[in-house]
Formats: sequence, structure tokens, C-alpha cells
Amino acid sequence: MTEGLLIFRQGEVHFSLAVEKVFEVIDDYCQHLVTDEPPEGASGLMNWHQDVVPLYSPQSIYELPGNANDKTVLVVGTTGPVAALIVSSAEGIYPLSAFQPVALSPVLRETTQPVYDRLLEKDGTLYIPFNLEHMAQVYRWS
Amino acid sequence: MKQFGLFKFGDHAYAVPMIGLQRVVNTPALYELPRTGVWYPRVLIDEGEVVPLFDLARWLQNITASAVGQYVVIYNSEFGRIGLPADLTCGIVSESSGGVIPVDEDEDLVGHQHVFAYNGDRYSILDVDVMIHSMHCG
Repeated sequence: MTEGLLIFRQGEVHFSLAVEKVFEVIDDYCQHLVTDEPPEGASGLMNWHQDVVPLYSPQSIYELPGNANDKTVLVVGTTGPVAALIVSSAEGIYPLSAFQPVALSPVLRETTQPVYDRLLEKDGTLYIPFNLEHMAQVYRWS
Repeated sequence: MKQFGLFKFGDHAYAVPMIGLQRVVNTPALYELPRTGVWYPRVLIDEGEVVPLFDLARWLQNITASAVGQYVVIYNSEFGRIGLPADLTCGIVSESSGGVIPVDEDEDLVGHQHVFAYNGDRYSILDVDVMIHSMHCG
């Protein structure tokens, strides 16, 4: 599978992220937590192989309700440093061809940009393409 | 000849100019998305586009309506397409078949300056462009 999307859920909202940006999915990050002071905007730090990586939640950027029970993390990165995203659950990997692109009415783009300006649909569920680059800029992890 | 599409929502009746009315969708699937703002708590997919469903009940303030109706009226505004909820569709009529009269002072709302009196009912004529502009400008 050359082009695939990992889909995950944060609360009731579904997201997609290119699989090449996801290095690992960890079901329970708590056992990897370290107690050092995290960088600004991060929820904590965790050990990942030989590295210590910051933990971030998408909640504030996407204006989502908090959920203290979320324990799954996606270890992610683009060209910059690696970080871990706290999510409710990772739900699978599908080829890009399984999704239909859906545009947003310009009325909505006023409030959704720059976080997202298009969606994907699969089997009656809408997925927001997760904007990792925007999040990295906001939290200055790249 | 100007025409109106007539609808009822909760205890309120409203009219929209036919020039912007694209279609009426019966019981579409509705979704909630983040960052859509308080006026658009739900969206629907229509013709490959995510269209926000305007919270007409909130805007009208005191009507006895749920946030969504059985129908969604897809309206093409100058800012893009939006949906308006409706419980009943009441037809398409020409302006000459009723009367356009100014609203009473206590009925005055942004985007609602006139009513269309038709068959004993008063339909608020919604200026959707003005409504959306006022929502975006706070």
C-alpha cells in the first residue's frame, strides 16, 4: 500500500493522517511517561526508543472537549522532530482511494481555516485531514 | 416576477427568495464538526460539499423548535451555500399572490425587515446574505 491514511478518533471527531507521518501507535502511553518539565503547550513527555518526545493533544487547536481517559498516542513527525499525539483511539489504515474528498462551503472556511479546509468521506463518516504541520507550528516543535 | 419559497420551522414561518433557493433535502444525514462556530452546529453533505446548517432556532431566539427540522433548505448565498432547517415546506409562490409588509418593531431582527403575508400566515422574509454577514461580524 503506497498511499494510505491512518484514521483515528478524538472524542466524537474522526481524523485521517498519512501513514508515512506515523511512526508508531502506542495503546497506553502512561507506562512511557517521564516526569521532566514538558515544553510549552505539551501535556507531558514520554520515552520513545532512545528519545524523549513531547506529548501534545489536538484538543485546543481543534476546539474539542477534553477527555482524561485518552491513553493512545500516535508517534508522529514530518521532516522535523518527533512528537506524540494523544488521541482517543486509532481505528485502522485504509488506502487513499477508499475516501472521497469533500469540499467545504466558503461559509465554513472562515472559521475552520487554517486548521482544515477540506474533508474526506468514507462509509458515511467524515474525516478531517489532520494538519500536523499547523500543529507543529503552533506548538513550535518543528 | 419575484417568487418566494415558504417554510415553517417550529412556531415560525419564513420565506426565502427563489433566486437563492437551490433545493430542499428531506432528512439528510447531519454531522458535527469542530471549529464551525456557534451558528453552524451541524453540517450536511450536498453535491460533494459540506454545507453548514444554520441554527435558525438560536437566531430567532424564542421559537419552539429543535435545532434541526425534517428538511434542510439549501440556499446559495453570496458567501457560499448554507442550509436552513424547516419542519414543513409550504410551496413556492409569487410575490403578487400575497403582500410584503414591514415587520413590527418588536419583531425586528437582523436580516428580517419584512414579512410576506399569504393565506392568513405571516412569513418572515429572510435576507440570508445580511444574516450571514452579521454572524461573521459578530
